[in-house]
Amino acid sequence: MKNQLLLLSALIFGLLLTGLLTLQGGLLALALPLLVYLAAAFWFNPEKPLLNAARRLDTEWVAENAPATITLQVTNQGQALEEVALSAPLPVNVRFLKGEVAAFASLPAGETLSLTHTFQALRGEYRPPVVQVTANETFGLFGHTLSLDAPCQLAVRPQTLTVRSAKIRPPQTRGFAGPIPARQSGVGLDFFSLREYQPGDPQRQINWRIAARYEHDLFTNIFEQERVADVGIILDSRRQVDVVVGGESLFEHSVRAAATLSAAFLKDGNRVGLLVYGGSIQRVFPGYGKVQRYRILRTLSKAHTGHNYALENLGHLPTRAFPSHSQVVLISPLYLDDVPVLIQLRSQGYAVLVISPDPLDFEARRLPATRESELAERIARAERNFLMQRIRRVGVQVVEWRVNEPLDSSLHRTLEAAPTLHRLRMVAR
Amino acid sequence: MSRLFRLLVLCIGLSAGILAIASVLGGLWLATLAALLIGAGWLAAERQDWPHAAAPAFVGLLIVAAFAILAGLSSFWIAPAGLFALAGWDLSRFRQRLRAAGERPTAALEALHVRRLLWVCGVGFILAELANLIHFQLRFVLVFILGLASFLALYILAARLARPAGEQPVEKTP
Repeated sequence: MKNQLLLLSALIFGLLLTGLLTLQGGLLALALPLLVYLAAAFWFNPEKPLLNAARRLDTEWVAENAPATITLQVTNQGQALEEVALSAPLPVNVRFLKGEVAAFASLPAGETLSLTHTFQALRGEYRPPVVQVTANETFGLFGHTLSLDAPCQLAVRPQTLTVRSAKIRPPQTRGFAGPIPARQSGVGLDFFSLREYQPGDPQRQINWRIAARYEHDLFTNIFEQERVADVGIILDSRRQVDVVVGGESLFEHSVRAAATLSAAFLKDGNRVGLLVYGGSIQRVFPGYGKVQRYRILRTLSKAHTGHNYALENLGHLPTRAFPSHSQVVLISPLYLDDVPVLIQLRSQGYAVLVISPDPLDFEARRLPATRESELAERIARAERNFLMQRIRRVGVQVVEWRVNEPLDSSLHRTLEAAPTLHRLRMVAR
Repeated sequence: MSRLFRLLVLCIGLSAGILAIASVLGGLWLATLAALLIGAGWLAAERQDWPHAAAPAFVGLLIVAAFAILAGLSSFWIAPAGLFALAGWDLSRFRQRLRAAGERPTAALEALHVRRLLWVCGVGFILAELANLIHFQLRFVLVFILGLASFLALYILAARLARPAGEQPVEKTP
């Protein structure tokens, strides 16, 4: 607008000056239509527009890559505007699907101009930028540019993967019935131990095969109680443990794993809490049910990697956030310096399960296969195996998750193998 | 081809054509060639939707028109050529702005614009032709003062337009 006005003015003054200097009336006549055009544009110059903008989202809470629609409405509360150019830019890092993000129309007084656009986004929280409005007269030389704030917020929750119920065995459970073995005898489904028959025991619980070996004694089967447990999920968001290759981040897989596991544990009726540890500490105190699921997913949608000198290692992990003797699930690619912290957690009585997205596999798949990279991977793999061995030795269950494989299979491979190993160790003793 | 584009082509054709014919009649072969080249280039650019061609072409046609007047051709024919060049420049810019409308109907916008442009061109044409009929002598002092005033006005306008707008305040809406 400015440049065009300057160009036209320069031409008019140029013609006038040349005409005056050369005493050529024809040049002045040539400048006259331009002058009339400029005067007409100035005459119809609109007053400062009085506009009201509002954005409406069809949903404020969507799944990753699910379409979301924003409707922007700009209402003219002032005088009629001949030409209104509207620009409603989308937030960064979203993919435009359909609709319009700009409009050009006339806007009579009291009328509303609507703009609808659909987009999809990756996990995160998004706030669309301000709306840019240019209102000018029909020649486009004079007008006003406004920035209208029409705030709205969209939260995109992380994708949850499909997993079966995870078989964890925390040292302590809560009082309510659930799916987790409580290490206590009582009403349950799984066999726990035997004891001598006592009057009042139901006949169907008598173990007749054992009783057949003795002449006068009867034995009763005792079952293991199944209850709900406290589960604390720790998501490692330290930047130094994250791997980013080709714009893809390993942290995103960790977030998905955290979302998946929290949803699975909550579905089983457990009390679940979340701690995001990295650039800062964000926590969701333990709770049950759908509201807790929403709280956790909302926190995960905002989670991002960060660097904080105070939180460079897991040493400042606020373990008090989780009840003692509960199940702790740490989701982290892991570092060699993290081993002492895991040992400490075990010594405090927590059952620790580590879901470790494999950074080596993640990086190796995205790098060109050269002799040097293969050699480097072998060395790094040996180091990582050593790290895993050290962690397993202190009684921590470790799920090494290659992120291109389903989490469910990696998880159950580890969790189902654990009791067998435990049994073998008992036999060896 | 839209109505607006046809109108634009007509304006460019008339502007370059009138200039070329007037220059041929006046024996200004260089001006003829320049007018035809600029006109053809502008038309080609509009067909290809090059948004930055209109302004140089408009300036070019006006310079050729001014040159023709300075060379002694009658401004009775040259002024309408400048008028059509102005209309062409305006329509080209309007077409660029209309692109943002997308699928929305623009007939009312186009009608308003064309109507106002016709009015402005009509008034401009009458004033230009009237100015051609009026002849009077100016003294050197008056010419000097008017020239100085024009120069100062241009300088003030340019300074005002070139001033940075600064941070655009964001208006809160309830």
